[in-house]
Amino acid sequence: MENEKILKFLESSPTIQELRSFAKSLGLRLRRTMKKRDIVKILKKQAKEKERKDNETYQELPFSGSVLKKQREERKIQSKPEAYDLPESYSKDKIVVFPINPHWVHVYWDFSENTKKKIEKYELKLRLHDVTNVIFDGDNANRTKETTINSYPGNWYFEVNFAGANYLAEIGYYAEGFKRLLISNVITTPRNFPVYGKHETWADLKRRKRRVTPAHLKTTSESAFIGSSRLSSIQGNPSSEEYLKILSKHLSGRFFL
Amino acid sequence: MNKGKFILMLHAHLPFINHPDFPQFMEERWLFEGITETYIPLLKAFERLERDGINFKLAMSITPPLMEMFANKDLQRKYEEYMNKLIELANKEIERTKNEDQRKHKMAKYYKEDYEDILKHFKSVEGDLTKAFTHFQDKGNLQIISCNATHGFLPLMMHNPQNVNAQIEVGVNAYERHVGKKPDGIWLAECGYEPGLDKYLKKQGLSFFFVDSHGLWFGDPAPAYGVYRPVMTEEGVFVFARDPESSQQVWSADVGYPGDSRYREFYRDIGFDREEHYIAPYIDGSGERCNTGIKYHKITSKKTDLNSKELFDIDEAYEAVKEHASDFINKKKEQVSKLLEEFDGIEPVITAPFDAELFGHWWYEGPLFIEQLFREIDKAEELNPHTPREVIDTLNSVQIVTPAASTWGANGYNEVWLNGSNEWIYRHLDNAVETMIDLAKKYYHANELQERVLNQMARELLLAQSSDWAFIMTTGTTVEYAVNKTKTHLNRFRELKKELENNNIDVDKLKTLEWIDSIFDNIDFRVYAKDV
Repeated sequence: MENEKILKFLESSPTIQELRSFAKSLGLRLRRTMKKRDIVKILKKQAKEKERKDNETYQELPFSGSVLKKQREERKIQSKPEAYDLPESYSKDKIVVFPINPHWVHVYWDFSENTKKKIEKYELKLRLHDVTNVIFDGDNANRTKETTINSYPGNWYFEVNFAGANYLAEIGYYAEGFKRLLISNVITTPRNFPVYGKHETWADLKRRKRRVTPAHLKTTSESAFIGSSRLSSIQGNPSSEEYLKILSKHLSGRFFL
Repeated sequence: MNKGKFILMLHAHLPFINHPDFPQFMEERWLFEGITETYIPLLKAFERLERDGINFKLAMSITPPLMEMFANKDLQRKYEEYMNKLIELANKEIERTKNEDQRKHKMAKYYKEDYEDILKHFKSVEGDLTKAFTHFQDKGNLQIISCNATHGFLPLMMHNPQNVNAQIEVGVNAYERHVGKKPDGIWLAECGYEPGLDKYLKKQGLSFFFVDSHGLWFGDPAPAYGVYRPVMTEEGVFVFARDPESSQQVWSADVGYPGDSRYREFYRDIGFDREEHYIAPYIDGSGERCNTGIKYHKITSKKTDLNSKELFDIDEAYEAVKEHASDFINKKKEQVSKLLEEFDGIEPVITAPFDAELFGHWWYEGPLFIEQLFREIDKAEELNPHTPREVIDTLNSVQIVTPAASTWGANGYNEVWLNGSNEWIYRHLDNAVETMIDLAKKYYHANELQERVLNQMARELLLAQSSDWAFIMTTGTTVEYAVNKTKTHLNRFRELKKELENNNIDVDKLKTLEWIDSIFDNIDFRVYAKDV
């Protein structure tokens, strides 16, 4: 029991340093100015709290199926996960872009009640802008893809042209030009190609200095990229059934589940 | 003589599953199987290596949920009950197989002794396996590293800095609480890296992490020594990248060792093979059949259908283990000599990360393979095992590189955790995160009861964020549990929020939630109020 552990420790007449590190190991927050007796007080309080918690837990421990069933019924909730309905909309203006892989990005959105009212008579457009090396001012994207959306909340998958490029999404409508309602975060699609620089930066760890040298790659050979064929070997829209079927058959790093 | 450095890195993780109000619960078996098949067999392998004076070194991430489950008294008690049942079943099997093929009888006796020994080990550390692994850390053989709090998938959290920071900070605190000191390094859930994450790691005092091979291949710039030397990020955090050859040797579905005909077949288990009235007490209470762990068949060949598999013999499998360990090390030696030549004598560092549960749970003989592998390395002059910290300490200079976005999931990026099967979770998770951040600021000076509610909300949010749920939705097995887990934690979060805001806190309900979703006893919800 943790409460016994704490009390035993306090009996060992610890120094203030020992008290501090012990309290920290329990996750307790101490102020710098605290004196020895303050920390002892906090630890005693913690021990008492633990004792109370332990008692609660052990009183509730199930000893047989029938007692357990009764307890479960009395309790308002049980641990078994259920298929609760989650809200359709959170009634907040929201648009988020996620990178999926070098070729696909995902966007989801939701609207506040205010926005919902505002857009009733318009056809909504979702745009995805390539803003690589651009400070976006609404008009200067390198490329833009646009699609009509008719649901909110909603989500969309875009196939994109470039890996290692920056994208952002916006939602709006046309009324004497494009009127923006929402604009998203900026993401970078993962790179799927090497970046060969002319220089390398090295940190000298002993002297704590940096030095820049001409690049001297030792691993440009094909063999250095063994296994890279598994990258992006599955192509297509990540929301499609077909894609999922193939993806679920490919091994990830994990083996348990 | 210049040598290669070899880092074996095992990532041990299971999602937090705790149903203390049920006498048994199917999904709790994941932990029990993990303990019986992977975690204790690894400890036993380490003990034998220690006894024989073999110089073995490796790194292991034991994730916060796993450490929390190891320390959970309800789960410890249930594990003992589970093992007692299993030993009872093994005893019955010994009787029963007397009249069956002698190879089965031999294995039944083997299982009984093995299970008894495993239970003895479990009791000898009072069920807290973190303590048992820490012993090997103290001895210098093992470096235990951390993981982000509930194994949340960080590449899809980057738009919310407080959220990323909370995942990492809560994970670091949990490590400290269980191991007694701060972690030196971290395994990012799913090996998921996005440029910018290093800043958060640095802030929590973490000095290294791992990426998949393409994290460095496509790093900026491409590193001089590819994946075979650690690099450092601009923030000063060291990075180790996965060696694709080591992965392929062990891991590949087509040519990897675990597919050898002599190894035990995962999919034939007496939980499915024995008649119902006999096996009923040893499978799920609902009568749904499941693995018991007692298996009598070997892979035979991949083409052999399950019903025609031949009988398994542990001694024959052990021969395969020896062959494979020796083959693995021979290939490492060849690789080292090739790399030494390419690198003009600079010592290559070969990093081989694996899911720990591959060894034992999936590949039954895996822990024996690891043991044998260290016996072989001990004999090899060209290769030395190292912990990541030891490698860092030998570095004089290191190249500065920004790793590329990468994961170890199928296809290499985020698609396993974001596709048509699981896209729906993100809007709800994001909303909960934003709510948590708002409330953490608003209720920063909460009273004691409000504080308990907010801490429980943080637990529910973190539990909903486990990457395991999205992963399961993609792979398609036990999907209902994963979907409901996500919905239930989010629903509990919402109800707690309502009670908090309406000043109508149901203390009994709160107590129950603190008992069932009991992860991170000492969490402080104010972690979400931090400026990061």
